[in-house]
Amino acid sequence: MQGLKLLLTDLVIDFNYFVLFYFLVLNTIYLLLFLVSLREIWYFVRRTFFSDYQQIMQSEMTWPISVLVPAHNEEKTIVQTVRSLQMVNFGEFEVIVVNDGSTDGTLERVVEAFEMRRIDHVYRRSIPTAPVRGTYASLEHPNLLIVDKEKGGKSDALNAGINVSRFPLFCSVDADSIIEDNALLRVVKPFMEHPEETVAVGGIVRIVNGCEVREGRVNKVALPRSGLAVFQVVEYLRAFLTGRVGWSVLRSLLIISGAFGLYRRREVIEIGGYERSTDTEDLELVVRLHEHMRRKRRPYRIVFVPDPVCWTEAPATLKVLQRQRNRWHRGLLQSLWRHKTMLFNPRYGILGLVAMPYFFLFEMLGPFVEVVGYAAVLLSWFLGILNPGFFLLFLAVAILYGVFLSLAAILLEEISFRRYSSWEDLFRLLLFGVLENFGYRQMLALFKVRSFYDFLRGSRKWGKMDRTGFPERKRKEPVIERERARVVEEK
Amino acid sequence: MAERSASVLVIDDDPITLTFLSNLLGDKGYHVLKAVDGSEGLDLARRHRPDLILSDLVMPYHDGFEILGELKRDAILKAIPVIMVSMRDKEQDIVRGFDLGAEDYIVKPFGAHELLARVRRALRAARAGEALPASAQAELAKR
Amino acid sequence: MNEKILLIVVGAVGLVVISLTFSILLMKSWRQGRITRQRRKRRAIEPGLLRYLGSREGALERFIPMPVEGSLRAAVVELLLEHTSILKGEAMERITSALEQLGMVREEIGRLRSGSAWRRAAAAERLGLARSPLAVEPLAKRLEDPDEEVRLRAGRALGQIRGTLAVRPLIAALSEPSRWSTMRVAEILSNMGSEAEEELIRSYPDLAPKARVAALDILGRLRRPGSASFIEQRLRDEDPDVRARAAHALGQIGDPTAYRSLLEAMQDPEWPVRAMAAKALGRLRVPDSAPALALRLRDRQWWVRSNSAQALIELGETGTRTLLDVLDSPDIYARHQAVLMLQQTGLVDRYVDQLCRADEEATLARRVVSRIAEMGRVDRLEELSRVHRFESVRETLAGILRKAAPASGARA
Repeated sequence: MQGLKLLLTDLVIDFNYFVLFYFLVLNTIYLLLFLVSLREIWYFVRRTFFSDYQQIMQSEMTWPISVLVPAHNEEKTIVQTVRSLQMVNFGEFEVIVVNDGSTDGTLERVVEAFEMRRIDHVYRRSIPTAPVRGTYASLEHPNLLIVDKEKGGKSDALNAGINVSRFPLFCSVDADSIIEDNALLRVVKPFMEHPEETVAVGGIVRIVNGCEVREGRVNKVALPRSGLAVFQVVEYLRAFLTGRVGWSVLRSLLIISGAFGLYRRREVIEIGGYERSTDTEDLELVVRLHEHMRRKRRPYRIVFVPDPVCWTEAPATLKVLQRQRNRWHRGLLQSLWRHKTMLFNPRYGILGLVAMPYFFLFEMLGPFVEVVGYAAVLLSWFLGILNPGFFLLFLAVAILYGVFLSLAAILLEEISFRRYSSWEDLFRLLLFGVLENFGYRQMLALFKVRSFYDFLRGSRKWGKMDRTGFPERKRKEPVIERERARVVEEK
Repeated sequence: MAERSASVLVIDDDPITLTFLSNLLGDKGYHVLKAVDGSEGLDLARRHRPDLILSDLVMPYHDGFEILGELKRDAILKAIPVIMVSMRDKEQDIVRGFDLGAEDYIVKPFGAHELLARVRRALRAARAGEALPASAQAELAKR
Repeated sequence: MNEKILLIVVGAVGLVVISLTFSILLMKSWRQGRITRQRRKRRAIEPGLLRYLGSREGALERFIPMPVEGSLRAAVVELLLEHTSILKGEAMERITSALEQLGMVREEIGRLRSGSAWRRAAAAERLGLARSPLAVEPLAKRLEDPDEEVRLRAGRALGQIRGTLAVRPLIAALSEPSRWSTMRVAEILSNMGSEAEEELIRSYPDLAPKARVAALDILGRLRRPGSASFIEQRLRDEDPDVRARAAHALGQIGDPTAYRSLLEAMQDPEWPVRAMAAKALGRLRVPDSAPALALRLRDRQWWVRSNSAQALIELGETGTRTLLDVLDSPDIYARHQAVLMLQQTGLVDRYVDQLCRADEEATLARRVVSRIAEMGRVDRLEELSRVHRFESVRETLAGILRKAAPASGARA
């Protein structure tokens, strides 16, 4: 018994040292990312001429864009989304709505609103997808197309959109997100600056809760009333302004939000389009683009533009939040697991040596360490080896540091975009930046640990988990269909 | 002069153009109404029935073409001449504007005095149209 | 010991956090104060300044109290600059002379020699907006600036002031690797007219391959018929990019005599050239090009087929007739592309409308619709057989579809 206690004590003390070290490394990384971002945003904001965007808009040399809107049961918002997309400031672009086997009136709403009619479309089937049931076009709106297909998930819908798209760049947009007027101009600029190398560009995503929205446009920006949503606003500020900006500078950006991202069609087709078997298709796509380009030894850029491009609805209840975070984290785990060979692989440069290990050790295992850490504190107290003074001070450092990071993100927002203009909103942001370290953070860590468990359980029966496969075709395939399929097979 | 009291509705989401145009027209003695987007513009047009409308093309909520379409579908409002004032100088936009029933199309950047002259002409033409007896108007419409 | 270190760390981080909070708050209040002050100043001068711009005569001091200094002057300058994007003619000239009078032009010319490249670029940008001829000379010097950004902004500014000094250095800048700078240079040159045209053609042989492509684009945008024959020769260049852009440029210029060389380009081994040539032929609208376009509907490349079909529609009646003939083509791609084009332009719907008329149109309509149905391209036809507003048409159409179904089955 005594021996066991001794062993346990040693273990706990070792673990505590490990936590201390872990904490130190993690926070150094955060601090460095923040400093890199500060510099980048400072330059970006001061050196952006508005006239540049006008030039991009007017120039005939700007690459045209296909905007893809996958929609599954979005009858409430879809017409509004399409309408506001058509008003976006850009030269030449087309909007392609992909109706992914909706069971509500998504298709009918759009067809009605834009006077669309069926056409017998001929397109290149570059990526295999679930069967397409029909294509609709409009005489009034020549740049709008709807593809009606059987359900195959978001990735599958995006792949179908890529097949139909005509232009060299495509932009994936969530059916319920609100796009800023100049969003396309902002994200296309890196493609114009480095046309040979740029393969994907993302931008800042904001939370729309609390804002005044009219006919698919954000009219007035304000913080949400609900505390849960404000926590997420602070979290988004941190993630986008310090995280992604920093990683992008280091050429190791791993995530471009599925809510809004611009990609070069050719490379995405080369890697076979969006992957259907992971929970977060956006992360997986970017990781695979990195892998592909590095393997082919082609110089490339995946860029994050520190400029707000789109607004998205944040979960308003704990239950939905948990579900969302569970999915995100599961997706992260799946992607990291699939691409584990990139880890510490010098062939992938900073991405393999720093970014991937960071995501593995901190983003993936971080919540685990945090939760085990709290358990260890309890255990040390139980074993009588807890040094209360030391513990409290350590806790104080950890929390203050967390506060520091949130405030730093708010500072970045204040020197750059200042979308939250009222004093009240600023005070609330600051307040919630502090409060988030007492409960919200720990809760997210728990959510993530939970998803770890789901991941392990899920991975065991991945073979059976046939979310990925196409629904079997029950319908008898008429001869006409067959002829169409043949045409469509053409490369 | 009668034209002094004419009322002009200016619709533009760009505050600089909006302020400039309304000051310019106001100084010349016109009664100016201002709207910052398409839906406010339509609303003001319905309520006040101005003598002339200057409308931007690319705007939130309803763009200039939609406004034109709405106005021209309305039995009463369709008589109000509309001048498009837009950054867009593509031939297809200008043609579409005229086809939808615009009285005139002015490309930004514009000359202030030229714009005033076009406003005067549009108002003159509208008054000449009113002066005609109803039968003559119908005849004109057929042609 | 450990605790002492930690205590120091806690104190330090705490201090940082507190000072961060204060600096955020201070920044905001300072900024808001400035904005309010600026707004107040702006309100004071705006009506007078706008009246100045809208008048035909009278110096600046007749409209606003002079002299203006400090932040009030800054507000006046900002307001004037803002209006440069919407005004031209007399009002624009008045903006320029007011900015000169206020010393803004002199000041920015001074900044062109600043040590910071960013300042120089910003000064060039603002001088371009101000359109003062006084700035031409100093801006021209900046075309040799070591910084690319400054060179481009200076070039653009010169373009805005309508100085043709910039043409040659700008054409040299076409060789810069970034598409973004090429785009910007191209835009400046495209607004310059004959001077740019002559210089582009003259220096073309010395340009890098990428710059040649851009030069052709610019020539296309200049739309000067004089350059058509020069561009036609480029259709025989060995670089396929050059050939493709040359074809595109010929379409933009729209000189119908170029159609023969474009017909030749339709046989090009590289598909982008064929696609561009097809598009250009659509713009030239020469009916004689219809057979060649119809042939390209059988191209292996989707873009060539698509552009050719589009071009046939642009040709008008001849093109439409050709498209109808293609419905009997042995080539399945060509047939399908033709059907799609007829649908996208609403022609299929029009033929369906005519199905039950009692004249020759109905015969043609019937033939076309039956042909499309036999091909199995029935998505739209089936929809119309349900939703068409006339019952007679719905029934006729349903009959055609019934009859066609076994036919298409037999073929497959």
